[in-house]
Amino acid sequence: MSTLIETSHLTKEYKRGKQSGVKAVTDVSFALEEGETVGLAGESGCGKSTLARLLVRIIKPTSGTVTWRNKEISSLPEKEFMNYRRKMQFIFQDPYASLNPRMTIRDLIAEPLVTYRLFPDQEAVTERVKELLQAVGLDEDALYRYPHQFSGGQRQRIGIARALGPEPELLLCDEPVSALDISVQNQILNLLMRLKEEYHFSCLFISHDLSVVRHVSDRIFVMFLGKICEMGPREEVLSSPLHPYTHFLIQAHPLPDPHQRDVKREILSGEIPSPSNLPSGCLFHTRCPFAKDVCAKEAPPMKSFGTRQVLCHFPLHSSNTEENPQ
Amino acid sequence: MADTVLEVSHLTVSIPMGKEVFPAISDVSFSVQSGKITGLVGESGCGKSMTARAIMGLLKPNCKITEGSILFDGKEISHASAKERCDLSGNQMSMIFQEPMTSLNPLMKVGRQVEEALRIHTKISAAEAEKKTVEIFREIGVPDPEKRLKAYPHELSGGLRQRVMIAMAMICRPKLLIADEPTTALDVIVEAQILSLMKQLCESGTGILLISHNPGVIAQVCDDVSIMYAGTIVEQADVYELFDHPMHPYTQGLFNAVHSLSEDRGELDVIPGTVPDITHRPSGCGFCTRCTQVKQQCESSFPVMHEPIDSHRVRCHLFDGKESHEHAH
Repeated sequence: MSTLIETSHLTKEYKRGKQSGVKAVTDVSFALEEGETVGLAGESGCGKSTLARLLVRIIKPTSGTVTWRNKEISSLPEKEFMNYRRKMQFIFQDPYASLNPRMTIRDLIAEPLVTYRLFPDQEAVTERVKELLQAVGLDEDALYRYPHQFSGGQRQRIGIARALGPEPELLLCDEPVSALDISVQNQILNLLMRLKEEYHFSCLFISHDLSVVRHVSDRIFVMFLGKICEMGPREEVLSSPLHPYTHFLIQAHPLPDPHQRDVKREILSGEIPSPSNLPSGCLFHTRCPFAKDVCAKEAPPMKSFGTRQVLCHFPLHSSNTEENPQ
Repeated sequence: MADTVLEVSHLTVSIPMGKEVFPAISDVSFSVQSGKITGLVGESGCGKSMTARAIMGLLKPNCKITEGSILFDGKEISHASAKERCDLSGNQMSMIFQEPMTSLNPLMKVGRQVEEALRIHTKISAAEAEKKTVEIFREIGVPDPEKRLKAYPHELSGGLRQRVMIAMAMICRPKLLIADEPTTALDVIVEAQILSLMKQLCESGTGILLISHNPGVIAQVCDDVSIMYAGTIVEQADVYELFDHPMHPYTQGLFNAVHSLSEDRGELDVIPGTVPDITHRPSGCGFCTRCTQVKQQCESSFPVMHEPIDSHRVRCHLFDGKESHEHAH
């Protein structure tokens, strides 16, 4: 497997006049392999969406680099960057807000195909749109209808068809199912998994819902206050989390089984610190029950344990895993 | 045996769409006991919020309660006058909504908003009201309550705003609290905090009607559960019985969909199709267009509520003639 996209020390800071800025994403470095699906989990405001937008340069990073197949693309001029942007397509959370209500389904799905001049004439474009509709399980008679004539699940299918049009190598899914009802959620997740088999794209899948992330991902990244605090293979992260924050995130997940509710769950108390006034040292130390003195003073380094990495001075469950020599 | 705070029976609410009138909810019956949490589960558009609004008297003027009754504390309130409503709302029954930001007044300090109900319903001095507000803030876990009284909603996090909403609803110690998707806009850790707070509130005697689309949330806190689909209740039982032995094909489909997410399976279980919209609901069983076990009569006749096991009711033709005992309506 080779690396598809890689970030190094990616940071986005929003300046606020003379005040200290708000750090939305801080020093994020990761690599996404070809054909891999990475689930990005974390609470709202932790920087998940900002990170995805930085990759596509919808938002310009303050510092750090993005590399696509070993070529640095973050400083390319806009015109050249377009070639790379075509290979990274987005699926958005809100299927109501992300489709222009005044465009027909044909025009919506055709827009990226026309923008990137992928087909010689309008007829070829329409043919491709028909193909895409079929791939996402919609009838051809959807072509000349408008978004308001479709349900939430169907609209999300339209959004997926639009994203698949330019044959992306990386699909960025930003909470693609969280606005949908559960029975429809699963239809969309199944569709995404099937399309992935068929089209072999890599996927960065953002969701706050751990059960969704667990289902779709090969690896899981957990974000907290703009930093990735844990990365690792899905099963290992969920069954024996290394970062205390991951542990509490898993504990808080409501299980659909009343028999498990009497099992004492550890619920984290308190509030997430404000991103405009970050705590010193480890960002999690103000809420962490395992925090020691050093946590308040020094920011922890990213430690590696085999295929796993964690940003913590005292990782959980680490006694049975060896830290990799630096 | 706990007291029944709320008894909804055979409630039907109609809504005009164009020239026709459609039943938004039909034949909805359930009850809420004091000190217990009753759950109402369903997908969007199934009539959960409409039910809550009918109980609170917050229906839009064009929606009419055409049948059924709502007994609150033994009194019929389905056609209560505005004045009677004023005495009840915020005092004996109150409601919290999904999105705390849009239900708080952005121009008013949160302390004033919480006190409002108390000042309206009781003769109480300003100082006394403030003291009570601080008390309730402390009780429901708002850190630094004296300072927070003077905060505006935008200065608080989502979790704190929802706590303020709860404080507002609870300040007069209502007998009934209706919580319409109280945690849907919140993160899981905050959700867990709010749910444990709800449990703590019902222990003090308030009966809670918890509306949610998430079976996980319902499984965590509810005592009794009603499942709604296409405007009617399709299944009803206590929480353990319902999750252990779901009977209605919709409930089974819904639970399988949730469970397959938390277990390891290749393809996720789905319920095919989508929820029929209100103008296209089938004349028979609302679920017949998506049901895998559909029979001929499902399309033509609206199923009645059966009780195949004591206290476990299901509205499905598969259970025709399978009553646990002879009962006279």
